[in-house]
Amino acid sequence: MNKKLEKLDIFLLIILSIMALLILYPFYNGLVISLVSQKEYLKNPFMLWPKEITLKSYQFIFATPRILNGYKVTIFITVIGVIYSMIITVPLSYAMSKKFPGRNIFINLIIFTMYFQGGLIPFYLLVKNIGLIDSVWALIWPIGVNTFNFLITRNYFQTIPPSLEEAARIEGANDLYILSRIIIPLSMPVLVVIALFYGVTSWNEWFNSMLFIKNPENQSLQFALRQIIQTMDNIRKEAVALQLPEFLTKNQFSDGIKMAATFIVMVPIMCVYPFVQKYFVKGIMVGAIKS
Amino acid sequence: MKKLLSVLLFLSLSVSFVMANGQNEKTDNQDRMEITFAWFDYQDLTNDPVYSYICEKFNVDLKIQQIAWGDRKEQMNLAFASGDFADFMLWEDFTRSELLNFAENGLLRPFPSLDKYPNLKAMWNKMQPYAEEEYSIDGVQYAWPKFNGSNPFGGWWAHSVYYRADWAKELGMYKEQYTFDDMTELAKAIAEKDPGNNGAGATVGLMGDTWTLDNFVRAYTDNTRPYYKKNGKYVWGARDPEFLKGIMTLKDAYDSGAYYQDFYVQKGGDAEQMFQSGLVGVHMGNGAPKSYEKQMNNWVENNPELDWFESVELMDLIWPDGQRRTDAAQAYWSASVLNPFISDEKVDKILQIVDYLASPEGMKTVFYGVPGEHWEDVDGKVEVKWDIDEDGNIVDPKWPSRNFLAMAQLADGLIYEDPTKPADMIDVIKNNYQNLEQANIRPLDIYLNTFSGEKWLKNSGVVSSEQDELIKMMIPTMDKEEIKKTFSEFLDAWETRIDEILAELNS
Repeated sequence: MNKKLEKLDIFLLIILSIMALLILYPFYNGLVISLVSQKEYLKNPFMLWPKEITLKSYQFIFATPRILNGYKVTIFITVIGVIYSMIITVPLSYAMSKKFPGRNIFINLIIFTMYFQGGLIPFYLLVKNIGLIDSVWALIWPIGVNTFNFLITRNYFQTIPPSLEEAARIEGANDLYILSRIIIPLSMPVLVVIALFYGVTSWNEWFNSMLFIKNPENQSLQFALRQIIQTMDNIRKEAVALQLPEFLTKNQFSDGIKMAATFIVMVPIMCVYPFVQKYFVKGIMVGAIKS
Repeated sequence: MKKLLSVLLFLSLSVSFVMANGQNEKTDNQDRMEITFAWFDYQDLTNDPVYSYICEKFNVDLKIQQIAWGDRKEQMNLAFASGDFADFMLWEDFTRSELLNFAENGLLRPFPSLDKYPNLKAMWNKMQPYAEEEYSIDGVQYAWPKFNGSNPFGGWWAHSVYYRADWAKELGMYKEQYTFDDMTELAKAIAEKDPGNNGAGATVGLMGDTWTLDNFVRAYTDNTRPYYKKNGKYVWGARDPEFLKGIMTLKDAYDSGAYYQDFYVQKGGDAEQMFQSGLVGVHMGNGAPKSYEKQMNNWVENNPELDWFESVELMDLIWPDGQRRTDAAQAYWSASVLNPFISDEKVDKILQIVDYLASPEGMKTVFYGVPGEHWEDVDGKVEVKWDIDEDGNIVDPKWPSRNFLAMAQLADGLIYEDPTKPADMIDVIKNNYQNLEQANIRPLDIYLNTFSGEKWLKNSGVVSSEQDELIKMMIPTMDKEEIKKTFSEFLDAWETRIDEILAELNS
């Protein structure tokens, strides 16, 4: 049945189109800036279409190994980090979903860490004393469990009928068997969501990289991007230019490079996100309701 | 199965405990000492012949720990708080009170006497009288400032005015020497007549970096800082009638169209980029070697059809006092500190290396290459043995180990000896410094750099920022009478706090 467009619909359509343009234009403008020369950009900062396209900004980005190294490191910590975090979070959540003496003490201790942390310096010293400074593993091991994700998973496990487990125990199954063959298959929705949350956290990781990684070859993608943007911002200042290596200060269109770096980092996630968007929305609610 | 798992978990926990108690201890008794140097750049040193040469010479493994420029404060504070330092660490942009505080708490290692390190001593003497005041406490040195050799003739800045000489000639306004009014008239004409053919209103007459505002408001005064000594006592320069006259001069330049009309929203570096793109006629910038070179190269990149030396010149500018003008400068920039937890043996080794890097041979080695292999001294002049490209130009190998020069100094001065740099460029830079030797060199008050009074630290930066923001607001929106009234209200509003600052400074 065709719905006739009313005046209100048309009005709303126009408003939404304008809002969409307002949201999309900065992205488009950023892309265009990454493809033009400094001269063209300064003559016309708000261009709809570049007169002359140049890939110099992208060439600069790929000439330094930082973005490529960043991609390697970030893909590594995302894949390994998600597996590691899931291996810890799932059994922990399952155990905490069962009743046993002292369970509440453990849960409260875990929740306590959500509100109060040891502090930056003790955390740094802990990682240093384990010997993880300047190691990629510093971006994975110390941050295995996210309390929020643990709570969501635990709540979901609690919604699984206990009769399923009881039946399995009667058949002779142990905890590990029950977890792997019964609980996990039934919990795929929440596990996918938690894996996604961990994946996004690892992908966006930069702070620990700034703290623990001194070798640029081991720095994460987001930190590399941050460095490029900050350096390009500061390169305009004379005092900074005195200190920085020559290859950074010579002949560089700083705004173009910033935009190019941003797009190089953004595009993969933009390609993936439409397919996983619904899981983000679902994910917040999936562990919230108890039967 | 459960029992086996429990045992395995217990064992892995125990192993973790053991590992956690093990630390990476630096042992200074190994044959080859490892020395870490915190700096901004990091590149692979594996195939760097100069790196190998220096390591062999001093029997060390030199490692660069990269500091991210944008996060340097956080990283340095973390290093101080955690005690995890590089052996020789860059410490930049710190106040005197921080130096005193950290030294008192044992976070800074005092330097030994430099008598054993003659090149360092000579370099330290070149940086006086200011370095001693900034980096020593009761005669004990706590940081090594990096010598900046950009001015081969002495200690003054090269604040310079780049201008389009070709446009000036086209407009019939070219001169060998310009007064302040001439410069403003030229800028106005450029903005009106658009010799750059950028389109109506697109060509800017006069634009400068964010400190250009200061050039105008202090055009009629002799002091470079908001506070200066008058008759032996510190006063606030904004109260001087000459200061208001400077604001009115800026207002005139703005209203006439000479000054950049959107100056109040410009960011640092905008002026330089716009000048390089052919949109600005007169640019107040920096004539130091690296700055000049960057300006030139970027300008040529954006204007390949024009010749830099024919189109752009440094203006010989005469200020309202009838003289050229510049400011005295410290001969150094930023500093490095020693790890307080390393042995005396390591400190000695580090200073030996830095002493070598401060020596003529050391500087040449790190810059030109291994002596004998990549360069040699022929009658007091360096003859390089670098590769030559197809066009017959010498190719600078740009070894990553050049970064180690930063342990001793910023290598700006080496530009004068660099065979890959155009001779014309070197001549212009040197002539500019030489011209400024005859200028009114406004003195530097190092006392203000090192003063750490409570009111000073709390308010002095704030009032300067507010003053600048006020000027940026007043110029485009008010007429002269309103500016006078508003500025007077600003002075009144800050009177009490400024008097507190002055009382502190004069105590």
